[in-house]
Amino acid sequence: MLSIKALSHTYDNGVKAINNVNLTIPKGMFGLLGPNGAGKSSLMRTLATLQQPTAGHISFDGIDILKSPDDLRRQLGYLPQDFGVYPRGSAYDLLNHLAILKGLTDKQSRHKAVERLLVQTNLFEVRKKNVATFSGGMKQRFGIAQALLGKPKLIIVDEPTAGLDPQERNRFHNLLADIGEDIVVILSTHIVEDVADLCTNMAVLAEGEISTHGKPKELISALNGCVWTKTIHKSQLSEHQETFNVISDHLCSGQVEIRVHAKNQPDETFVKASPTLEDVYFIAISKEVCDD
Amino acid sequence: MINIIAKQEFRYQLLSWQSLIVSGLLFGLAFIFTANGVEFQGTARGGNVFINSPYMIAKFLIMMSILSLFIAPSYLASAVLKDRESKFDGLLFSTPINKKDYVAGRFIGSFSAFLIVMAASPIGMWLGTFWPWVVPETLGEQATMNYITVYLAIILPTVFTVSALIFAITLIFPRIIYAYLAALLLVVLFVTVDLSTSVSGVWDPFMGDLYASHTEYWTAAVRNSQMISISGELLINRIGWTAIGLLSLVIAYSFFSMRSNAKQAKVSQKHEKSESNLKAKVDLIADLSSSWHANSHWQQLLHCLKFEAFSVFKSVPFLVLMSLCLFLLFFSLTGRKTVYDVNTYPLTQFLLSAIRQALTGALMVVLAFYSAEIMWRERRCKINGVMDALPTPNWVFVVSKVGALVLVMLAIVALGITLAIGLQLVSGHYDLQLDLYIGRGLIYYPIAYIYLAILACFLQVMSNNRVIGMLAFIFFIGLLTLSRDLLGIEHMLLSYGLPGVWAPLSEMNPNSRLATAGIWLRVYWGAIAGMLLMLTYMFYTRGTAQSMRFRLKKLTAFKTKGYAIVSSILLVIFVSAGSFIYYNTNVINHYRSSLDLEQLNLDYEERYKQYANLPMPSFVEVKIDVDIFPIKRRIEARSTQILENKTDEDINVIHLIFPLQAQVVSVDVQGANLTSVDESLAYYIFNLAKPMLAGEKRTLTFETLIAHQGFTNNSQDIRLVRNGSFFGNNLLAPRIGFHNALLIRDNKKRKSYGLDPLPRVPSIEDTHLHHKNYVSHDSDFVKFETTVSTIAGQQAIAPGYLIKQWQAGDREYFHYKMDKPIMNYYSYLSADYAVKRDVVNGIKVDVYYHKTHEYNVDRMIESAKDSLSYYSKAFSPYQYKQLRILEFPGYQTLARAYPNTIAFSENIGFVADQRDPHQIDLPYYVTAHEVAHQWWAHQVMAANAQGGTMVVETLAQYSALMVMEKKYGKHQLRKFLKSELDKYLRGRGKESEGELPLYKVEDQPYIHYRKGGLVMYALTDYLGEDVVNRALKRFVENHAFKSTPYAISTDFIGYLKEETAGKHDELIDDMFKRITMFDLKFDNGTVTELPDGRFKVTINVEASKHYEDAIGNKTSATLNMPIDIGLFTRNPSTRGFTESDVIVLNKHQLVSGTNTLEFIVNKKPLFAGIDPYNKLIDTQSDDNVGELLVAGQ
Repeated sequence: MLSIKALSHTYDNGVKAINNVNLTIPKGMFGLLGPNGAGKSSLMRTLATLQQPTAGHISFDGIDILKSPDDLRRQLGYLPQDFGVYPRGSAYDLLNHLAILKGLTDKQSRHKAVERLLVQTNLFEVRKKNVATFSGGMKQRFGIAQALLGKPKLIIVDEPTAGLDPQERNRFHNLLADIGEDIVVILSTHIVEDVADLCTNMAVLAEGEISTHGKPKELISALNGCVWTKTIHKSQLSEHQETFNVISDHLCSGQVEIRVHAKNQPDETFVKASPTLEDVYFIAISKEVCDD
Repeated sequence: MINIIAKQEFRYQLLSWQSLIVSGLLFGLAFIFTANGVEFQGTARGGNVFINSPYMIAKFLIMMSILSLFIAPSYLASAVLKDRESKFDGLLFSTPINKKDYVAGRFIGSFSAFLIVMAASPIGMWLGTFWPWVVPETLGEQATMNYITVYLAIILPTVFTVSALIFAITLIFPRIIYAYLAALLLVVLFVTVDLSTSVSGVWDPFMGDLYASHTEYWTAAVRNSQMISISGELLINRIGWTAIGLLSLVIAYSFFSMRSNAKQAKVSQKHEKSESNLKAKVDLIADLSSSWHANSHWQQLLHCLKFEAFSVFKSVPFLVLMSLCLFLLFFSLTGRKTVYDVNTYPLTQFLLSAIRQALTGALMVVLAFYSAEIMWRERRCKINGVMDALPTPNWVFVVSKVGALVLVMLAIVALGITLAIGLQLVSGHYDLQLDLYIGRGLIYYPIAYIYLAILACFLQVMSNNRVIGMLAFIFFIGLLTLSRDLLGIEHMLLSYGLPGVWAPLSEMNPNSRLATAGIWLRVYWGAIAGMLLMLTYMFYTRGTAQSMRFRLKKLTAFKTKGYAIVSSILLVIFVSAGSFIYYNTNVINHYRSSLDLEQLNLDYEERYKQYANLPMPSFVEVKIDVDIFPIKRRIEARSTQILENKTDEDINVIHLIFPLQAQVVSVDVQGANLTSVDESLAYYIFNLAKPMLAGEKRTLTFETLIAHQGFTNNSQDIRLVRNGSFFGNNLLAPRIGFHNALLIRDNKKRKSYGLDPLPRVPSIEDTHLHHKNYVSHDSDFVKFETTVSTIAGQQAIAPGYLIKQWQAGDREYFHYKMDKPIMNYYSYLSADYAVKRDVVNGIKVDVYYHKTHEYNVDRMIESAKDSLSYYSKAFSPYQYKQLRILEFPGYQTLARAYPNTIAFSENIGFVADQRDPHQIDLPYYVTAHEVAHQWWAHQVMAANAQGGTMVVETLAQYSALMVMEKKYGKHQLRKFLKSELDKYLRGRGKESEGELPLYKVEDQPYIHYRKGGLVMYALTDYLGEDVVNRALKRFVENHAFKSTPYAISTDFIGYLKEETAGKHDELIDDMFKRITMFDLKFDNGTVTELPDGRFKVTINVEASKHYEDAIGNKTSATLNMPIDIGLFTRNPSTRGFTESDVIVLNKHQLVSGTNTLEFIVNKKPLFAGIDPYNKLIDTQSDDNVGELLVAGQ
């Protein structure tokens, strides 16, 4: 169990990337949703021992990860956002190299582990190819393979599906889903579907603060009866935005479909909608905006 | 569009911390250089060349332009790479910016920013002259234009070329390492051009080599007034390199594409089946967990070391680097030149030093560049996110990186050693001395660089910025190198990683004691390096860069047990090795910095100059017993010497000055009391109870002891060694009375201490000093007798004849006695010698040599015999019955003539490879020169006055030339004469106090050897050998063994004028009494075949003559004299030129200006020339000979 207490991080230029975050992350897949620039990566990097926060505590299964980062690293699998590889070296060699650094020092079992991960991530056929030439999806799969080395108890995956095509994303989701439920997996993403598909727990981070957290289903059901929808003409959008608490709008065959958050039906033109995780997300981040 | 991109790039690059720091550094260096000109003026060739003279501006700025290489990648390469690194390229390249605008804009922008940054050095230099505390004497007339001219004409093309090449390389190969590789290539090219004589200076991208060679002969006057004109070769160089720069831009432009290539993965069908079989076999429930145990991190380290090392070894840059090193090594290993371009045999000691010479620069560059590359690799590849979160401790990463760097350097050194061994085997030299290759080559030599590599990595980690880390390293090296001169830091304990302790090798003395200091120093540095390594991995950045305050917290790691143990072990080594070194340099030996040494000279002057004119007795008889203990490193001397009052005054006090290296065990002067002892200067004053009357003699007895212990900071004692000791009386015996040799002689330094300037040598007009010789002020010719002992197995030799030899205990005793008075100038040699003996005209000739060095012994014997015969006949009989030549270790490259004894360095002739008959016969020449000193020094001694060395050295040089001419013929001397001419011209370019005409030479080797030999040879050519020898014969007759007065140069010139009956006075004066320069040039010439089969040759030559004053101001003169004109079938400068290639060579009367000459000859000449053998002094000596045109073609 990962517990984050009063975590804050302020950059030298005064920007508060993380602002008093308190979270307890249980075993299983945990989704951290947030728009770009919300501080997700800062938080992920801090959890992955790569950044020292200005204040706060983080502990994982009793390890104070700020004090003894090396102890956490032995239990950590980390897939950073947008990572690169050496210009030369095959997938097999690089994974083998990383395996040694992760402590798989026994040659035989390491080779078996590397092969297993290559098969699982569907990279076995290209194991002799230079990783630098891999496509985005292949690289992300390679990334998850390396994160799984050493049987980590905490896996942090930072924006893994950004830029992947739907098929690759699907494949990636399947990989994550297979990881198992008795370890902590933190998935940071700005794509709501990722969380909806995979996570048993989630939090929304906006402007460096946790604006909401809980189980996706519970968060959705809390909105039951509070989400209304209406299809309007594009020109009416700004007018509606001023009048109602519009949480999202999207184009639908030339018209705009807006969703509004309200306890009661705003007026008769609105139709009750069944809430989605997207609504949860948009309400969470708009709340932050309104609070400012 | 170009404008916008260029402007934006320009602002981005210029307005950055990097620009501020780099330009600040360049500005600072240049400012200090001029503002503190006194420090640098001394090192500037010419001495009294002003720091703001056109010469110095160009020289300094060219030097600074070499730095542009290290800076250029961070401007030009980053202009290309920053988009890729930030992954902005995709976006950028899809905008409507076209390729032309992008490439040109980025280049123009970054190049102009870079150009402005580089301008910080001329600006700093210029502003330095306005520094209020600048020493006005270092500055000449202010000419701001000079800075601009140099910057635009010389520096701008360099900066452009460097920028263009780096930019082009990065466009084609978009990785920073290739940019640095290009920089490295240019460095290597520069070094190669600089070192090699076979590669034309045109290839030097900085024009440094050409600048040096074109200004080499410039005198101070020219350097101060003249701006080098960019024409000829220099223009070709500037335009050529600019063109190369442009061309590379064009090529790179055509290669560069804004679309990135989509690489299609090749699908191989062949193995598909076996692949799927393999895949099926994979165990899908294999355990993924890590297995940590005690050795895990060591296994990781080993693996990472392999991984890091191979990633360097397999990289293209490294392979290119290795081939460059191969190239450098090849030049260096095959070009083991001693003097006169003569190669040595491939002895391991020379090959090791060749490897060192070739690789030192390369290793420095490798460690500066690769430390950055290797420390930044993960971040550059952006895999750092993954790597930094791995459960691998910092030390595994850092130690493996440093280790890989070490392996890279060792690989380079190993390449050198492999080549060296190959070379030895190919040339049939099988005594490989592998222990030296391993001990000195693979451990002792590179370990200092390993320490520096650790420092470089440390600075990379601490600075957390590639360029700043590298500059900090370069700054550190510069600081250490300069600290000696600027800060007076001379103690070896403070010179981290700089292999400054001299530990020369000699086959004659295989004992390794000279390396002791170096070995201890390496242990001591090793402890520092260990600490630095620990700090490096403590501060190693994981993840995002942290504030220094946070990073400092990591020092708490020292509290943990492992760190505490290791660091305390290192601390113990550091302290104990440091203390041991300190104990050696400062406790059991006397530590003296050069300031301390100067202080001794100052004290001496202050305390005792008052006694300079006291009458003092002279030595007349020397009896000295010397016991040499080569293993115990002791010399014990006991001596009884007779002093005589040669003055016409009564002597009441006697002052003795002992050598500082010796301990005075006892000293006694007959009938005198020791009244004052100045220990710090070893200055002893005796009061005589009864005055010593004119002509009276007294006895001086003393005992001195040399007892070496441990090692000292400054100098290794190379005189008293295990085998091959060689030392003179100046190490053992006192001198009488105050004398100038112990004063600060450098007049610039004297001025800074507020002392009056000293003449280098007393004026020739000062006749009352003519009864003192220039070797020893306190003695004339003395009787000499010595007994010397050494350990069994060695022979000890001193001047004189061996009267008795015996053994006592385990020691060998030799008693030598001279039957005629000699100069008070003798030496001892002790070694295990082989001896070869011969006889000529009843004179015994013996060569004592190290048993494996018999290569040139026969040449030496032949030369000694030829010389003895020629000199005996031409000048006077040889005064002794025996002549000995003795080898000593090559720690010094010189030969020195003592009475009937010549000490001859291993390196100057014993191991010279003379198998190529076209080279100068070095052992033959040196032997002839040293044998001649038996006449010119040991028969005719010169007074301590200007021109003294002309009597001794010029005449020895003349004598050797005559003997060489007899042996090899007059057509074979050109090579030697040309080499002497070049050395003379180079020497006067470096003159610090002003040149003097030959007859007033003040111990200036470039005049008394180089010019002297040429002048005497030319004169002999004009006057005839017989005439010159007759004059010399009379010179000997009237001055041999005469001390009242000693000979002076004008004595000889007088005989010469008498022998020529005044017919050649003008020529003789031109040669001896003026600084005369000829300008002789072959213009053109044609050959026409005549109907009778003979050939008509018409040639035009230009001739003129001028005189120069001490600093090179010219006065023109009229030339009207006969000069050699020659017609040849082969250019005299070509290898293998012989007499048979000469058709005509004789003198023709020429006048100033163009002279046309006609010849009818039987054989068809191809070349013609004026003074083709370079007998006359001509600053442009390469234009004397030219090709003839065949008429009608």
